[in-house]
Amino acid sequence: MKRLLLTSLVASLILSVGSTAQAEESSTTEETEKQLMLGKRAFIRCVACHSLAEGEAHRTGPNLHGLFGATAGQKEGFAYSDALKNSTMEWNDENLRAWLLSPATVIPGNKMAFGGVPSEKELDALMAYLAEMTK
Amino acid sequence: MNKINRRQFIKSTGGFVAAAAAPAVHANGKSDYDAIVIGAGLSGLHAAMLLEENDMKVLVLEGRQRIGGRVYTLMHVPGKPEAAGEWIGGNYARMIATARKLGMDFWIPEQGGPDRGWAYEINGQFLSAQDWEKHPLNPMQGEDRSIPPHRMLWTISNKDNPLADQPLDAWLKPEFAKYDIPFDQYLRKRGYNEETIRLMDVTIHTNHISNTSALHELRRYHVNSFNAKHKFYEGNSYAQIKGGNSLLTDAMADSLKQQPLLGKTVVHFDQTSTNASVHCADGTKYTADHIISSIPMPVLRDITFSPRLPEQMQAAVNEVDYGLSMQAHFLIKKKFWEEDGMEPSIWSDRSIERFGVRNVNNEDGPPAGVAFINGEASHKYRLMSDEAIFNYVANELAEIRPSMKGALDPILIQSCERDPHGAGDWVYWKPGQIGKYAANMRERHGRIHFCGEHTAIMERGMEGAFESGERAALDVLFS
Ligand SMILES: Cc1cc2nc3c(=O)[nH]c(=O)nc-3n(C[C@H](O)[C@H](O)[C@H](O)COP(=O)(O)OP(=O)(O)OC[C@H]3O[C@@H](n4cnc5c(N)ncnc54)[C@H](O)[C@@H]3O)c2cc1C
Repeated sequence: MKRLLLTSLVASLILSVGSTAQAEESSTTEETEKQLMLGKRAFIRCVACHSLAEGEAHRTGPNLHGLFGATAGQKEGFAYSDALKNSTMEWNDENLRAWLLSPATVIPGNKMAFGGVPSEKELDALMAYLAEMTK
Repeated sequence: MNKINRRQFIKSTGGFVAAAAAPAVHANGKSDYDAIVIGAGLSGLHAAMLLEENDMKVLVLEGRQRIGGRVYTLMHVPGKPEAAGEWIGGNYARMIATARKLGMDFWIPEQGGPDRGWAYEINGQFLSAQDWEKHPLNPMQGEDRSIPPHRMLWTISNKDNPLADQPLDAWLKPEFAKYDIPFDQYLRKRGYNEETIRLMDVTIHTNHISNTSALHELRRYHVNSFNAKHKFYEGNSYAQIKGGNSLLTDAMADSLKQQPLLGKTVVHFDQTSTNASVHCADGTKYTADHIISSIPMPVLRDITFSPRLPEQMQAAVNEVDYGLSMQAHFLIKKKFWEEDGMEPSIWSDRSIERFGVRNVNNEDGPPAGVAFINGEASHKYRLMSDEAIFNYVANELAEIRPSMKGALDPILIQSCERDPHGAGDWVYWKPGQIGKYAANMRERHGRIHFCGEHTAIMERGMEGAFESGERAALDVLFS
């Protein structure tokens, strides 16, 4: 009797723990995917200038593969402004967020013509998208 | 999801999240379309393409019987001149990417451009380019004397440009509001004499140099300089669509799932809390969740809104003007430049202003030329018949240059202003108008969004049109 009770308790516990974890996982996946879809839309502002996948050609701006952790202005085959080339800035979360709000403020004299992402919501989504797509 | 799956997922347009994040198609069952775009110029076509790419059902309505708006290649005129949007700059990222995506090539046609050979007629004297620097009619000092008359406006305007090295949206920042003054006043303050200012006024598209904001002109040359930073076609920072810029707007329209409807002149907009409608001159009505209008401001003066436009916006619509120009195209029957040994093209301070010659060596068909008349000088042609314009222009040219007598056969007259759907060339802000209106031009009016070159923040001209279409499409996608 006691044993039976314990078994069923454990079973139900496992079951409930299992289902909560599953639900949590699927809701975070859903959140992430939603964020990435928004990010894809925000990337409409960028796509004319920037390709994402490894080895894709530069456009008016450089290819962005391997962006996070890279030093700014160093991709081969792109004619950067001297301002960016000599900046030694690292593309980390903080610098990239500031850049996407106003590139001209972060490094004056660079040649990226971008007015800035207009809202925090869009910026969050764009950052998530870039992190995923430039890996 | 692993990386590959997620990438594929994002790249494909389907998926449950796409449906959840995108505004539901026909959410309220009251609209036929997610969005209607008015105008099949660059801004409207770009907005429509972006919305369709994001799974929206879109209809484009165009008033004219052709696609392209202020992109209009005169395909049947020798040398295929561009009647409007001509040069694509190195920083025209959206336009270049769209052209490449649609399989277009670029070229620099033999049309001479700014560097073609010009002879000048100034104060009634006809002179060769090589005589200008030392000529007594040259009003400039020092090294400026080497600037040829047809380059004065550009070169002097961009000298020590206070916007240089600023971001492209600097013209909207309060610290530069002090330049929102008459352009001639700005030039005088910088020490330029009256004759220099008069010659700079000749080919300005605006209604006299005193009637355009210095800040507007400084922005123009600032954007131009920025374009020179990017090379995109065989080491050049400018080019055109090979075969004519109209091939691009045609291809953009062709790429749409739903083809634009032509001959649909919008005369009235109305909206409720659930949708918005447009009413056309032919009595038809179309309804959508969102409307994007690319109609130029002076054309909007004849269009009504219910509810009415906000006061500030209506005031801008009433007061902001566009630059004007008139082109008289001719076939050249004899090579008059070989007769008198002067440069083929003419730049003049009388009311024909410029006569540019193409195909000097029969490169792309027989020689042809265009009298290109800008700004207030174009006013006198407004009410003239085509025939009267051809005669007047041909007589003026023969008077300047006797070798041109009987050299010309009329082809056609072209002006963006002589069309109910065109307002002129591009927006020009009068002194004080940038501070007063420029910030408000892109505010949505309920479900109605505005795009068009005049609403661009960073870019100008054709890329400004693209930028504005992108901004309006994103407004719809994120609302
Ligand atoms: C002579 C000239 C030279 C130029 N040179 C250059 C250059 O070298 N480089 C450059 O970048 N730019 C240049 N431009 C500017 C450039 O052409 C324009 O900025 C750009 O094409 C504008 O695009 P848009 O979509 O904003 O407007 P438009 O192309 O004008 O589009 C608006 C559309 O709306 C339609 N429409 C208007 N009213 C209605 C209505 N009531 N109902 C339905 N439809 C309507 C019109 O027919 C038109 O198709 C030049 C322009 C001119 C005129």
